[in-house]
Amino acid sequence: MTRDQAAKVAPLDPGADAVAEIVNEHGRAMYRVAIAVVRDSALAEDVVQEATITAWLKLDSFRGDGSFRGWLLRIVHNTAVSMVRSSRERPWDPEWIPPGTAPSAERQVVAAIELDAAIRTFARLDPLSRTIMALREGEGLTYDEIAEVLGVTIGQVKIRLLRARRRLAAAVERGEP
Amino acid sequence: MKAAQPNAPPSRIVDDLDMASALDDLGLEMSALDQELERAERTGTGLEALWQVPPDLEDRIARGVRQRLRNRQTAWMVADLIGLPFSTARVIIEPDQGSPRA
Repeated sequence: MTRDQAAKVAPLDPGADAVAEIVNEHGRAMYRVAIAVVRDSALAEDVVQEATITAWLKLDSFRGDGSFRGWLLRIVHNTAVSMVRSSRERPWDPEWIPPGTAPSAERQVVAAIELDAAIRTFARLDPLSRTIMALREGEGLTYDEIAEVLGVTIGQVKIRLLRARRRLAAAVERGEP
Repeated sequence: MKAAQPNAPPSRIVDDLDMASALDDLGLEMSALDQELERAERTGTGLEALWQVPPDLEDRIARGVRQRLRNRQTAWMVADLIGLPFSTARVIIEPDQGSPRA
């Protein structure tokens, strides 16, 4: 943060300004991208908070002729990747399952096995492929939009998506990751 | 000072995917990619639960952002007052910043 940016922090009232607008309009999409990368709900919230501040401080650099959502989600992805790198000393839990998705007594056994297989396989994909899946499935973005958000080619998006879906389908069919 | 790139987030994403090898691994020609992807996307992945967000997410994020900004403001005041670099003052005020959670 520069001194100018620090000065900008001082008069902030996040309840009624651009920060609140970013959070209310895009918070859920930001969270989905973050959790796809970091695989930890608390850390994903940290990522969204940091990315919100980064976006707010850099609002002046957003020219406005592209998609604001794309610009913002890319910041989230970059922040998430940086945060994962900075916490590399802690190995990721290969058994990580998102909150609320653990097998329950109510769930049918077969469905539970399929869900677990899908989630565990998803967690083992590379971060970029997970983000692409999150943007496609969670946010319903087109391939073009995903390519714009992540700054990669449409071909790369399609190949990573197909590869990920095939792995998931195979894991579900086998009932194991 | 380096001018900010319009629309440029802090860093670039590098995708090192080798398209030709990846297509080869998938057993596909580039021309068949769209059709195959379309077919694959007709089948659900069962990952819907993954995209659910916690209740009151927006409120929690807004509170967290406010706290972080207050911490930064304090760090700047401390840095100014006692001549510490901002980064050092920030580490003192936000010791958990950037470190893994327990």
